[in-house]
Amino acid sequence: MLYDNFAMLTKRELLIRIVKLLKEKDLVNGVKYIPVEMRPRNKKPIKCCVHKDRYILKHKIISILGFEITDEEIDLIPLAEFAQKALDNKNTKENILSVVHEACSACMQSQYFVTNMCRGCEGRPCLMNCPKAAISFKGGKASITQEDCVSCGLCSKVCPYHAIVYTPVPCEEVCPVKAITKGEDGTEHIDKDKCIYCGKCMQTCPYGAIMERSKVIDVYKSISDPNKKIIAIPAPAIYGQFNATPGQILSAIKAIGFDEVVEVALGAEDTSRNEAAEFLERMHEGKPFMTTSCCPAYVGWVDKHAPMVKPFVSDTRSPMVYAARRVKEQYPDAEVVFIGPCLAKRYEAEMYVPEVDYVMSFEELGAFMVAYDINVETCEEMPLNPEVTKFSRGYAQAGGVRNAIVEAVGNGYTTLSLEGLDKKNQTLLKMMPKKPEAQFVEVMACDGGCVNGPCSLAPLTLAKRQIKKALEK
Amino acid sequence: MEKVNLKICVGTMCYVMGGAELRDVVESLPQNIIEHLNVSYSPCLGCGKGEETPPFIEINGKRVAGVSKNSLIRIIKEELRDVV
Repeated sequence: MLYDNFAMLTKRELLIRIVKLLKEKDLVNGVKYIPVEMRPRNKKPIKCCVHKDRYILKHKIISILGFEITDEEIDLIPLAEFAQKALDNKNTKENILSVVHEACSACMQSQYFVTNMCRGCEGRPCLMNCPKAAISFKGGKASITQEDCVSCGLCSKVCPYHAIVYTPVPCEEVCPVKAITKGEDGTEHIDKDKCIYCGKCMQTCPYGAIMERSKVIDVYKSISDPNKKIIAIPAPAIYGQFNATPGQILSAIKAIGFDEVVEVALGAEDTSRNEAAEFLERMHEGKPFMTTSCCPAYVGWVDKHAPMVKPFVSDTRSPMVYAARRVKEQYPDAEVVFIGPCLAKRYEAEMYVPEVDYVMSFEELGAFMVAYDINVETCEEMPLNPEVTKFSRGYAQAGGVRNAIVEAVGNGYTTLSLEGLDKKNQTLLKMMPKKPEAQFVEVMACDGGCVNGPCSLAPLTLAKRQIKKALEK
Repeated sequence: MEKVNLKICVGTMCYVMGGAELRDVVESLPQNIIEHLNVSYSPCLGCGKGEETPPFIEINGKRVAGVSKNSLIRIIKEELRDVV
């Protein structure tokens, strides 16, 4: 989470209300009241009127129910019908991320803009320093001819009054691969062929206009079905999400109605072992370097944007895969739910990991805990699996995978841990086949690693401290 | 002077709806403030049914809704304005 904001809370409130209705077995009837209850007439509307606010909520609800919202026809279908459909059949594979078009405020194209703080001074450094002669003075104030402007930002830098500002489009600004762009109508569109599902846009949009397709309905159906065995596999980042010990957190998850809870960190043991072996083998073969493969957003980036790095990405699977395999070996009929802070895991699971049936976010887990009245801090300690080392739980944070590998192969190799897929790191990685910076390179698409994932619940500072505590034990 | 009674909700609802850090805020208050407070944590203050939004706190019996980590500091300061 980059910063606290109300759009994020709206999504969480929607999740909580929907899971509560599910639990009360009243979803089909009750879902239509949510927009009205959350945006009542006597409260000031956020957009132009309550009707638009409610309409936006309707679309967000449809996304949470597991349907895609880009199609205009959804306007013709009442919420109850969606709820019934969601309860009746398993969701089909559709877009993981979609833009709620009514919520997207169609931000102004990002540009440099002269505000009315311009005093029209004699110095006019903006005029003098603009390399494209895009600045002119009208009525004693500077103005920028957008057709000529190349967004170099010099005018803004040199203005002594800070009168020239940059107005960004938040989602476009944070997208590391330029997958989100304006359509003809001014609202944003996500290019599936470019998107790596890092979740940055979803996290950043101040209107909460980018929604992930949720699986809460499917997870609920399996939990409440006594004939089904359902097993949760929470990612190591879970230990940072609550003010409680790892044992309490695991037992809180179980209390929702899962038959078993198996730490993904158990799968991380396999990942570390295989990855270390693979690394030694590659070094033996004389390969210049190897990168990790457990971050699905990074792997997606390599697949879609950096094919030259592909031969250097390890073939070892992610901890989620190994954990799910272990579960399926033991209980072949069970359904496996991965619980994590990650959006790209939804993509990874749907595309490549048949062992994982559903992916649930920490936010959704939080909604379940609220709806099922579970107080994590008062839960009993569940004994932790002694097979799991602190190195595996350390996968939660950037540097964790590297630590685990160093532990396995010793200190004789150069290592590097890259956080975030910003421009600098992207260039660095693309150059690596020619100029390797280190022999073992860990790459995490999120700054700080999984603990800072786009679907996490706890603020980063709190999460980091809790993880530190959990690892010390 | 009598101590100010401060009750912080640490229930899951308040935690999920933005109250995750309230406990931290209170625990990191400086000594000269904390000595005037009577802090307690409650798993639920019994709110969240009406129109008010979580997270909740109670200060000297007054319930405050929609508390953030920044507004919590403001609220405590306001209550202690004559003392500190």
